[in-house]
Amino acid sequence: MTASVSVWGVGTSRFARQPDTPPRELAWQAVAEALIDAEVAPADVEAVYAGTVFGDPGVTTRTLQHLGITGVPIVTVENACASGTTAFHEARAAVAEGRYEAVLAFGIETMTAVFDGPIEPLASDPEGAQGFAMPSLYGMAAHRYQHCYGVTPEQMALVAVKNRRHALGNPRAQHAGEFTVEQILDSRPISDPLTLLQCCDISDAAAAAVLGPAGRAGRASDVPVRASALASGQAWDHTSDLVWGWQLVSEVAAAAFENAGVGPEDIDVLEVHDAFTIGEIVTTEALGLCELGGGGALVESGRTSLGGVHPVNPSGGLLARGHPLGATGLGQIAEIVWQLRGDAEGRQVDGARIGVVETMGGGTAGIDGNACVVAVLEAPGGRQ
Amino acid sequence: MGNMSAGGDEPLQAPAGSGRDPRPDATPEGLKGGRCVACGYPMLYRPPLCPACGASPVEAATFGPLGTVWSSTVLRVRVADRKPPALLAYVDFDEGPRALVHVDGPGDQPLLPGARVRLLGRDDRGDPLVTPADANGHGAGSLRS
Repeated sequence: MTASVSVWGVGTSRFARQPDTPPRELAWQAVAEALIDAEVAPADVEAVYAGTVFGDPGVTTRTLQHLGITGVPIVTVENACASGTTAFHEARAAVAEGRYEAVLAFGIETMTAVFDGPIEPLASDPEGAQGFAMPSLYGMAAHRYQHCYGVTPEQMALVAVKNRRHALGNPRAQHAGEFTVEQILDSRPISDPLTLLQCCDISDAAAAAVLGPAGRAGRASDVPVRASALASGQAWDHTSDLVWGWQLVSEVAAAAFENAGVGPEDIDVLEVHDAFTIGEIVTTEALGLCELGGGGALVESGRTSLGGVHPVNPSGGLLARGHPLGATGLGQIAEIVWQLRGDAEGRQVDGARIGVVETMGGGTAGIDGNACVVAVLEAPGGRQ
Repeated sequence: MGNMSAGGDEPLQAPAGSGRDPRPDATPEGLKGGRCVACGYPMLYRPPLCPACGASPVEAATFGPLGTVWSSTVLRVRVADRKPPALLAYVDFDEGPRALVHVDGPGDQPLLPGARVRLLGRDDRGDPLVTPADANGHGAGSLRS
């Protein structure tokens, strides 16, 4: 027996490199906003599911104690970039199974405390030990797409142009701006064919959501969660002709869409994993917004821009809102909640009724992703 | 993951001889790995159970040394202690698995998918190293120190 679940409230900090801001202050900003939005007192939070990748041991209890969230089960998970949405998925499941009401899903990352440059690959990974970092993994996908599907550098650059422009409407975004395709392509080469402005930066931020049973009396702004799905990747090897992550995103999305009773055509707004421009192109295909190999033409058509049929990453996405790994997924959830309530101000998708979040976590050689989460949310109370 | 900005200075490899170097064992004779006796699935390691069918044993096998490029890229920024550029490729070794390799090749552009390469062994850093191969399977490069 499972119960329907809603997001009662969301909150985030600003997304930025903010090395002078301690993790507790980022957490306070996000969690306090979410609790106030949910109209839930800290003492009424019954459990916490948290996501972080590079956070200090105990970062969740260290930061939440100051808000009075103590004496409850706290579970911290790590699933690479999908850590925050994994926490969300587990929080939803806990409420659906009737284990708790008023569960906090929380994500935090202070990357500038760990890195002064790119995330360094792991020496324990067979590819990481060769100096193979994520930009090269996506560079491989981009090169393959150029060769097999004719995706052009200009189409890839359009993803960065679009998402950085979208972020102009998001006061919490890290890298909003108006750029031309030429400026994107002329930025510093990183891993062919990807250039600097096609790659996300490191970031410090926290984000949170309060979840509970649907149908709370007197609450017209609770956002129902139609479904969420989570899986780790399968073998990505000589038998795989699809680029890294494609199959995993496709299968997790299919499961989530089936449980939600929706198809790609029903989606009004999406927040997806665009750590690199080619990532959004691949993901929009895997989510079913277009056919295999059609992601470049899709972004070029304008259908994924604000004002298009399926706006993707109105917040600016990972490229422009920011990508603080453990906080990213809940930042995506917060954006979709605001969109479905009609509260997204300068980046609002008019009349959005069905919103989708997709987060892809990666880095382990040999499989097509450490984890992928897809969540489907709908507008509160049948908002038209 | 996927964040990008500047570079660091920490070495990536496990200490030489520590037994913890996870990189594939590459030799001029081919890539050393394993193959499931039951289903024939090739892999870079020899786990006790086949990840494809669950059977055992996984016997020792050597793949290549020829293979086909699946994709390629040139890393143009410093990662940890590695100086750019680095020409990298995913190679599907003949009758074997897909593996990440470094390329000792002409120029500094990615290799086209479908290009043939030959495994040379490990380079001076211990990375698997290939070189473009001609129609007869002969490689153009050689191991350099």
